[in-house]
Amino acid sequence: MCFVLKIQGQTSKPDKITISGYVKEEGSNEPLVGATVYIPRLKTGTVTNGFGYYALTVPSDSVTIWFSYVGYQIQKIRLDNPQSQVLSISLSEGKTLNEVTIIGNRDTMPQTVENVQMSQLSIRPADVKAIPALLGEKDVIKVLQLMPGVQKGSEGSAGLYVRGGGPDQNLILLDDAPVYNAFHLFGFFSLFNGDALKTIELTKGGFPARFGGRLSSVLEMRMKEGNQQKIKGEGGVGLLSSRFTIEGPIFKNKTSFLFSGRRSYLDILAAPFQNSDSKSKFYFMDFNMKVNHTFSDKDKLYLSGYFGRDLFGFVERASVFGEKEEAGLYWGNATATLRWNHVFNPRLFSNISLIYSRYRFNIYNNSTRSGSEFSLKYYSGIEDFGAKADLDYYYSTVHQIKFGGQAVWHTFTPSAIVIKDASQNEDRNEVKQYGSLESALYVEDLIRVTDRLAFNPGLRQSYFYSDGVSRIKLEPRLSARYKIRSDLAVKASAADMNQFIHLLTNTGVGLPTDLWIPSSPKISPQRSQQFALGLAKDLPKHNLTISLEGYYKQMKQVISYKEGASFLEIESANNTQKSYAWEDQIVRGKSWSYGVEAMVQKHVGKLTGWVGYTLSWTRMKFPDLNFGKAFYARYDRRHDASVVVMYKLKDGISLSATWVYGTGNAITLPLASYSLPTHSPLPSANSFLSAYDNATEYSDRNAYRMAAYHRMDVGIQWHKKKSWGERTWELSVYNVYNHRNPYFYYIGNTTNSQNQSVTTLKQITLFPFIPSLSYNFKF
Amino acid sequence: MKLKRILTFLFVLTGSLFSISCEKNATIPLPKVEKKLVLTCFISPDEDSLTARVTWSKPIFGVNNNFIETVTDATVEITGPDGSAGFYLEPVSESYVVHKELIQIKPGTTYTVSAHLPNGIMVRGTCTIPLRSENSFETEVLDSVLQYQDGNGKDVYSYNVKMKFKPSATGESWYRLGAYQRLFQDYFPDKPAQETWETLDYDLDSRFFVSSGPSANPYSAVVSTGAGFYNELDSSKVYRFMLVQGDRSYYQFHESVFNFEGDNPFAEPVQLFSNVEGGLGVVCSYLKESRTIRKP
Repeated sequence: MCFVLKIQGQTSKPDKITISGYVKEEGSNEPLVGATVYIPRLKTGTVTNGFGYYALTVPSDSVTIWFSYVGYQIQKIRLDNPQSQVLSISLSEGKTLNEVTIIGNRDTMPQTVENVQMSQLSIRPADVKAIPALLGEKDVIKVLQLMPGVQKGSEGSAGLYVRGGGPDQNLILLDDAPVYNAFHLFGFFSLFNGDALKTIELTKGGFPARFGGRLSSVLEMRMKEGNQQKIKGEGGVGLLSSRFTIEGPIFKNKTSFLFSGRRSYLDILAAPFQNSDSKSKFYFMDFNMKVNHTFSDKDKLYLSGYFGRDLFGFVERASVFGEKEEAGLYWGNATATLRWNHVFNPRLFSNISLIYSRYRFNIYNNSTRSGSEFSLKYYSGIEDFGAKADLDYYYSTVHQIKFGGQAVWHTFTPSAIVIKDASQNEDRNEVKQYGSLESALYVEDLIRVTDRLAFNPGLRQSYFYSDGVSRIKLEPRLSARYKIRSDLAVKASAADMNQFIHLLTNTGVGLPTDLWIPSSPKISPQRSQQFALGLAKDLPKHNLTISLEGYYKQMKQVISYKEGASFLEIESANNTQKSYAWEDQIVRGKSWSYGVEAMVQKHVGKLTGWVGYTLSWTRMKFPDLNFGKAFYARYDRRHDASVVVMYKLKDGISLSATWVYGTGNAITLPLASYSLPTHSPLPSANSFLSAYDNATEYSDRNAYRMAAYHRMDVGIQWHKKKSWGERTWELSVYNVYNHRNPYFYYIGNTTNSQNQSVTTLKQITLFPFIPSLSYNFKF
Repeated sequence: MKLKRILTFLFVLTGSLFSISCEKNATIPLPKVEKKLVLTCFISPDEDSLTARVTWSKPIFGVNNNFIETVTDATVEITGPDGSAGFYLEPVSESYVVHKELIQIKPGTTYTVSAHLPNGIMVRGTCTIPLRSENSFETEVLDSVLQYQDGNGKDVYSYNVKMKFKPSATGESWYRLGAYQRLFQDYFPDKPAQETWETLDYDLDSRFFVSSGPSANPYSAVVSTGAGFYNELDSSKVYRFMLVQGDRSYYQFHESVFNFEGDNPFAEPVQLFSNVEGGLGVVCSYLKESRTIRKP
């Protein structure tokens, strides 16, 4: 259904007029990001920006403007003899069972073909809630991993590996604030509560100039603003955690708030079963909050924040001697953003933000023995204070210009060790901190040359200062689209990116021990060039969009831990001869990745979902690793396929299923052990030291493959409307056919038919068939 | 009560699911590896003899064998431009030895060490002895620190000694420093005490100084001699400081070994350097200089 409204203008008639305003959701006044504003007669239009704002400059003849958004009812507004005016629209959620929505209407502007931007994925929060998940924990990033070009690192991991890039090469933004370690529970779940999110968008390539600082992707998430009309809430109780979200007006249509919280409770459930002398603590929690105030059509103010923490630890007491020991690790993020939207004039929109972000990882060990106290604390982290300004200038329907700048002061704490040992009279405090300034200016222009041809050229100038060294980089960007037909377009893009801050990740163990470090005189910025070429096709009759993209990406000055290095200063029993400084523990090299991604997606209807496939290669070459020979990246995955299906069986019952397949991760295997003497400068005749019996011969780095990974998840949801709202029971099964996917391998022993002990490779599967039940509600 | 039962059930279900780690033999093809000969030899013109060790490697996968086999029937030979010499097996250490009278090792010269087995298996490694250059190796006693008084009321001091050198070799060169104290091990009353040398600084032992060419600025390190409380037999303490200049293989091999962390689960895997054709191990060379200080 759509609505047609006729608006009569005034008698004086300028040549061109500008229509501007906001597109919002009816009822909540939640701005709709990326809503289409289209004039079919002129075959021109625009989309709302990140705050739901649009501006369209058109000839002053009568026009009918179509406002549309996927899943919402179209509004058609006819303007007779129009004047420049503010025209804000509210769209109602459409019923997708029986009604044709925007994608099904041939007269509307197809999204995929029309967009100049390629290599971009959007996830609807509603899809996140519908897709079955491990233990019922809906996870934004896990849904992104079902998309072509996006891979996870290992079973259950919420890490993002985008087009051959590592997990540090993704810029994750929550209301403009960067999030540095986006995972709970050792990477099994992301820290984003889908109930609090409004938009989720991942850009894998063809980066517009306003994005920078990371090589491989930008994941931009915006929180809801809060219902401006009435109090609403939703929540859920699952096997692992519970969550609750409440939003509503403080002053109707002016000021609204949103608060969302989530906490796991295994520790609470386990508490009665634990020994009073020995208790474990393990939980994760996160909170999102947002307050916004509308001063007028021209000014809005937002304040949003996030706080999250994971804790794993234990406390042991020996009551006889009063001894006590507690140890564990905890990590978490905190972000805050203060934003001001200001409309200078109908064609110039601005957003100015002040941003704070902090990530901290801690290991602690405190003990009391024989009256003597020992305390060890190791921590690392990063803290940001920043500001940015983004301006959208809707010059004309031909030129839509974005420009702006940002500056961030980073404080890095790559390692901090604090040891107090009364028995050894040791009081050691080694805190290393570095400050760096990162800033950028950019300009980009969306140029619609003709109805068929459009470009989006841009230029970004990045600046980075650290440890007395300044670096200025120019990053040209270009995207282009040529419409072969109204439903078929060719797209191409090229992007030059720099990354000034780096993440050291340990490949051996999946702990959140990652270290963020700045570029410095010793550590150069990482740099990439990415090229992509693709086809986009819309099939409006079938509500389908099809995309096919090929890409090539090369990355230089990529860093890795050197062989033998570890994240923590450790003196092993074998080797007490080394000291570690993190700066000396890294090596640099290059990486290159190329592949093809295909996706068929159905957005609306009873049956929705997508099928995605990626064929890709990712290789690396470091002079100091693998004897300088090229090797496959650990996460190189030749084939990656996913099928996601959501089906509304009838009112009140919906089904969902996913199936994923991926080539196994690349691994290094030990081949043999041997005795290996070393030479010592000892001033004696025989200079051999005692032999190394435990020397190990390894294969070439990542020369072997884990077994292929595949699994199917299914879910069923029962919805029922109640007097107070709606409740949903969800039963889902993770890994429904119980495929034993390898999580990691280790060397173990078995016995053969001759009763001999045989060393073999053992596999650990983490998640077999796992059913889960959850209860969700909203009011 | 009912709620508690439900919670208990959910906890047990979730907890047991988390604690389930399904283990089985991996289904991927395992590397098929034959045992290899491991040849290790450090060659220097500054030693009275050369020593080589020959052992077998032990494939990880397959029937367990806890022993690293030492090879005692190999023919080990060193070949240079002036001829060759055979090593003999020293039965106690099971090492192969050749004395310098049989082959003169000259700086700047390339040598090959090979090991042949009766069944025809052969491995060999080649290295070039570094050229000798004037490195201006010096030691300097900086200061002393009173440690304690011994049983006779005598003050016992520890000394801080600075070692320094200026690489003068053209091109890349690799150096190690070592500081040692002489000790006499007196384990058997009916036998004379045996002289041995104790490392004063283990960290220094595993550190390389890398030079890209002649250096105007010296490389240096400071060590402490410690109090020296080991025994009373050698009342006049002797300290010896070594400068070792290795070839590229010497440096690459030792760097990889020093990086190797064994079974440390947090450490990156290390591929140990080898320049032995047909096998594992290393054949490399070095020069050495020493300076001696007697206790002031």
